[in-house]
Amino acid sequence: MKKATMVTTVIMAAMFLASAGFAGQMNYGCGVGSMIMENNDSLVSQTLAVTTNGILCNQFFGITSGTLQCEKPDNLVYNEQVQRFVADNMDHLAADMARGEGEYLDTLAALMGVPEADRPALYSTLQSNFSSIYTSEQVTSLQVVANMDAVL
Amino acid sequence: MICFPLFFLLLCPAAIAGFGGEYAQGLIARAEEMRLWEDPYWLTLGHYRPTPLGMVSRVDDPDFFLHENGKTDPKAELLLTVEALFDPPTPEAPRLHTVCRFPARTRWLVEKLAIDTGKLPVPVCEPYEERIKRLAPESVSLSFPAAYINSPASMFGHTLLIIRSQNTSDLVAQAVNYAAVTNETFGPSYAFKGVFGLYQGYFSMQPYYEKIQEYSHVSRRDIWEYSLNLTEVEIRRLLDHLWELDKIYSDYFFFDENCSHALLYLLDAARPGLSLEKQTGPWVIPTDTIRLAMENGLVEERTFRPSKETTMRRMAAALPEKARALARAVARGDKEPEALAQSGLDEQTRALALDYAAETLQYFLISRQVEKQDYKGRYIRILTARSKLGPAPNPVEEAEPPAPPEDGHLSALFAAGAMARDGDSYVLVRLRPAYHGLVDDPDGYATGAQIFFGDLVLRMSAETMNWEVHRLDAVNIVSVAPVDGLFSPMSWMARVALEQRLDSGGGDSLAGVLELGGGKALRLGPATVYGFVLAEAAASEGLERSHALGPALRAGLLLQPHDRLSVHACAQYTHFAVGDKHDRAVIGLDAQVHLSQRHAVQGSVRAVDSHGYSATEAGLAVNIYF
Repeated sequence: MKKATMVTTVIMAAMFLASAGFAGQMNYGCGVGSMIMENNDSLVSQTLAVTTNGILCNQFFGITSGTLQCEKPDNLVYNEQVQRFVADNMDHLAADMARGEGEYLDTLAALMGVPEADRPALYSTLQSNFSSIYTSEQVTSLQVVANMDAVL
Repeated sequence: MICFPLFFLLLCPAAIAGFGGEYAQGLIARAEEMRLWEDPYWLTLGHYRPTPLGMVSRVDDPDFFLHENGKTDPKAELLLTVEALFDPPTPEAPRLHTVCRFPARTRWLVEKLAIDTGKLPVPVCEPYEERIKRLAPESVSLSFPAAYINSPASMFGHTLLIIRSQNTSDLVAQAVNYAAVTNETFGPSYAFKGVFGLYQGYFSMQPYYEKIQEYSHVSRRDIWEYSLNLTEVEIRRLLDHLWELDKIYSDYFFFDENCSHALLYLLDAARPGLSLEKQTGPWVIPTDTIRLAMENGLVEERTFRPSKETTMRRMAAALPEKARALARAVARGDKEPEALAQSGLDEQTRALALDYAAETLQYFLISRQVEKQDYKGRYIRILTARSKLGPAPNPVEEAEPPAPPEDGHLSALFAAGAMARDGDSYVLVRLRPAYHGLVDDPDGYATGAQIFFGDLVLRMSAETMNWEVHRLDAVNIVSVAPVDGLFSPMSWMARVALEQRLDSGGGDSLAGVLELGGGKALRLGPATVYGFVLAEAAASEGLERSHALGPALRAGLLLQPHDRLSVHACAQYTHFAVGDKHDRAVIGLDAQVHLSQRHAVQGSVRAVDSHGYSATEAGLAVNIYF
């Protein structure tokens, strides 16, 4: 009896332990969120859509290469990196742009190749033109980039 | 040289093999002479570890080995690798050539055997060089998403590597992550497979902002980043080895061959002679990986990236009550952002309130408290109002970061002490391999979280001098997450244990115990109080019909009256309605004085009433963390 109790305890423990600890190691790949949020190109950015269990989207060294729905059209106003960054971070970027500072804005400036000295002016222009960049809730990331280009 | 098909078949391979063959044979002879396969770096690159049956690689994917016995024969693998470097080019599939499949092995062999790369049919792996050029790696950091209090899946934290590129920011750095791959959703089978290595672990790479979204925004976990002092050539070696592991699996074991363990191979490959992997114990906890990196002089600088929850809390704390309430109303959609303009608050406060409203609304979306359609329009309206205001104070960056995880008490515990129990006295010895208890020093750990694995307490009666198990908590997890104006988490506990319990004859019997349940917690001044409803099951020879099952109520109080003192009081009443029908009441108090990262003193008092018998015990122990 004692032995049985012990064995049962250990097995239950192992089960519980693993279900507890394991789920944290899941991989949320690039394409997963975008497949769930169908219109990933409009305001809810792809990265806000991470709510799923692991399917591996192995983007090994795939910095800019498209996998699943990560691919973007070729007619980019800036470079592909800017386009993808904006598409993936629409919401965080909007918040930074509206407040005129933040890491997402810094990243955008770096990807656009704007030197640090010129960034305060850039941020201020983007902030005061926020409503012409993020024009509506329907705005797509391509439009956001095009609108930025128009006000700069 | 132009080869006709016939000639190609007959002559070209022969010519190449003959040319490379002689040179290659010389290299193989040299490698044999040097016994190069015994070199620790070769063993690192092959993930070999000594076992009673000889060297065995932890990599399980046959594609990782050129030789059919490569997993268990580092010598055969090395010699065949040297030979395969001279294989003719594979223009239709350049990535399949050995030079391309194994850039780290190639680099090291070229160096060790002084191979003339001009003599290699494929002197350089073009596709790989192209990728490296695009990546433009500049520096590497270790990233540690800390535990989130209420998520059992996160309780140990996680580790990943970040590869920064030149002229970009951290957000677009590449996150290197090792994870088990599965579509399994059925909990118990998932758990079983995780513990026994039935999942396959793969490395993956993705933009760091995706990991930040996952950990910091969705899971609300603070992230600590440790920049590493790897040189350019060391970073290159790390990437060489990472490339070798592309699409290569190793069986994933939750305890040891996990996310943290796999990263150690990359660091060992980066800096020959480092051997972090060899310094690990039977289990690998992410925090210990960070300590290991620090002890080995790898860490340069530490930075703190507050989670969404930390950000929201700091913003909320910096706002007056009126602004905070208005911001939440705006986020909920009860008020329009313009309401703030008429509030009479100054511009800076309104700006921060709108920032806070935007953060809160995002949190609502992530936690599914708002529909996507409502979110979009409301979010744009809040930000449009915000863009018309000037800069706001930044309470998030200005706040002091909490105690970093590596400064917390070490993760394993040994304790020795004594206990008095109704006139009897006992010597106690305790070993807890992992991880953190409610009265351990909370610095560096998630507050209100307890997680014990294999916590064993042995006791020796002073009278009989016999050792026996006092208690063994195979798993004991408690999460006390207070409800506040913003977050309304469930608190809960789960315990699977063996312990000495008062039996139906008034004596002690060892019982298997399962307790599972949850409830709510809230802050009451400096204290946190909680109430749980539990289901409790016990199995023991000391119980009539050997088992008992019933509902239980549990209430507790957590208090930290001083930096160095933690207190936990709790009471539990169980009505066993099935099996051995009886009522059982326990009331207990634990207090611990934290002396250092390695030492503490813990005292406890406990009274039990069961089957009409009662017992009172008091104990004192010295804790040593290691």
